[in-house]
Amino acid sequence: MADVFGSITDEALNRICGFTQVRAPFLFNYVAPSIVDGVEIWLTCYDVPDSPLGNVPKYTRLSTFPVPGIPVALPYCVQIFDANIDFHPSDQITLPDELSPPLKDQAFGLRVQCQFGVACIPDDVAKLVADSRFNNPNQDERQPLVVPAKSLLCFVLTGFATGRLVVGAAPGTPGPVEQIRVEVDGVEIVDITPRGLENAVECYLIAVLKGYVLPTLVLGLQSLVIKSLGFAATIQLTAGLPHNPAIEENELRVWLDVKVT
Amino acid sequence: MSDVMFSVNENTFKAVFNKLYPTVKLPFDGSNALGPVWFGVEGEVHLENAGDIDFEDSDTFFLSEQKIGWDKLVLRLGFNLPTITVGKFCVLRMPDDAPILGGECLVEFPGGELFGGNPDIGPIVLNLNAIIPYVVSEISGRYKIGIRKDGDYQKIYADVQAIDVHPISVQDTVGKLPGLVQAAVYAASYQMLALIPYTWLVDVVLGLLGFPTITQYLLNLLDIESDMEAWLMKVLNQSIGVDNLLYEQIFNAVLSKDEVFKIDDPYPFVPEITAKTADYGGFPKPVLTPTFKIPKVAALVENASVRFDEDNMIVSFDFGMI
Repeated sequence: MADVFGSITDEALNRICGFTQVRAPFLFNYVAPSIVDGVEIWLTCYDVPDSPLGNVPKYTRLSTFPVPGIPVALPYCVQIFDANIDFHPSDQITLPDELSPPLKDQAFGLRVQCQFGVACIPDDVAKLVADSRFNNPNQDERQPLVVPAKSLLCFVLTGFATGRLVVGAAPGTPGPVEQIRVEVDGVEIVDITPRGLENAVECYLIAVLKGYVLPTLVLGLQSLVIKSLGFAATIQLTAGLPHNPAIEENELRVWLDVKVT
Repeated sequence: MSDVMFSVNENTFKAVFNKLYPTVKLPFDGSNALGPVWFGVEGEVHLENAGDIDFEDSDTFFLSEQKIGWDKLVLRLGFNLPTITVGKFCVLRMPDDAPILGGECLVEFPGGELFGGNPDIGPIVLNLNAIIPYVVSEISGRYKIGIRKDGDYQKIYADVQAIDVHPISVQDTVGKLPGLVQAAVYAASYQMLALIPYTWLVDVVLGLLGFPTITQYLLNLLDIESDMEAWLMKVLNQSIGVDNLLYEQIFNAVLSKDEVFKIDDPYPFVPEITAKTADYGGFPKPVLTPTFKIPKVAALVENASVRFDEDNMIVSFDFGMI
């Protein structure tokens, strides 16, 4: 029997996500700003209201996107306007057919809806760049011109992912409690054609999810339980359970053995 | 279903409890007079670890074998001896057939009262610190678990409902106690002797008291027989009632203890961070410094509850929006 047990429902996590979206909008809105007449303009696809917490920024800065073939960098934005997680069994989101619904045992599903906005390169800018290259053939193209966009071309993308929590060896981590990892089973971006482009985008998103987003989400999952109760202890995942951590009955669950310090 | 649920088993609860509940020194003193003998005690104790914790139904747990550590134990003895009135009598009388002063009393004891003080003897200090390691004391108690908002936390308290101080047990395994008690009795004997004005009167007094020696008399007053440990336990537990003295100190000390567990309320999801201003945009008001603080994002803890379910303490709560 474990010393300590902790659980949280998917419904609570989704509520917290919506709550955080309002209070910390910079976590959900990423912008590579435009520069017009030397002044940065943070272009977005939709307005973001002020945080009720005060002078909280709305956007996190991204680098402009260099365009192959022409030495310009595009302003753009990624705005997450809806994100939901669903722990087995499915009841929060409906998975697309490509991910073989319903959720498998011990699996979670993720749905994220984003507004993407990308600047178009105006004719006058393209001409300006062409003239510049003609007149200065040796100019350094590693310093591209940020397109002085005043608006973005926006579109909505809806993405789904499914995955599981696994415990295994993770290079460079000190002990078993740090070895909870997320395995992504599938990613599906809805309504992107042609198929090759969809596959390429999904491949990119899987890398982003595996390499950054999901490890951040589960980092410290175990210590969070102990920290929440306000006492100091060394912890270890309880061994001998069929699934630990577990995703079941709409909850994320973890069992720990602790040594109070 | 609550948003969040934690459970903690008895062993972990006990480990956390034992981290929290050992106390600093709790001084106490008291006294009691039983007939001619006055007992006083001066001591210091502290709470040590709990031996066992048993979760009960609903919201109470029973703590047993919580050791009391002794830091100081001094016993004081005083004696109110019965006042003895000695009348005048002739100590040295001339023989009746003496040529002069025949039959006259040459030296007369004027008479008077002995042992009229209060107390007559004492207080005699019986320092028992040397046998502290062999004084075994325990308490048991029933505690009620509860959770309540206090400042920026939901605090889980163990509110004491009742404490039972077990009778003190003395197991003087190295036999220091008899020597200590004897020394005290001898000291009392010397004090008593000092109260009797003439050495030769001692036998008179002893005759009146009905004992062969002063020491025997004092031992009789103290009701000391051969078993010193049993005697000391009787003095502490019955004559003085140390349990009541300890009860008050320990009860107050336990009541003043902090929470066993605590949960941040508001509960932070995103901690406060200091960030580079250049990495962010869309500030409602311009930020002119290179760095700025992003406040934490937190939610209220609502519907918090704590209860015992078999061998586990269950804590559950929901998140509410601020």
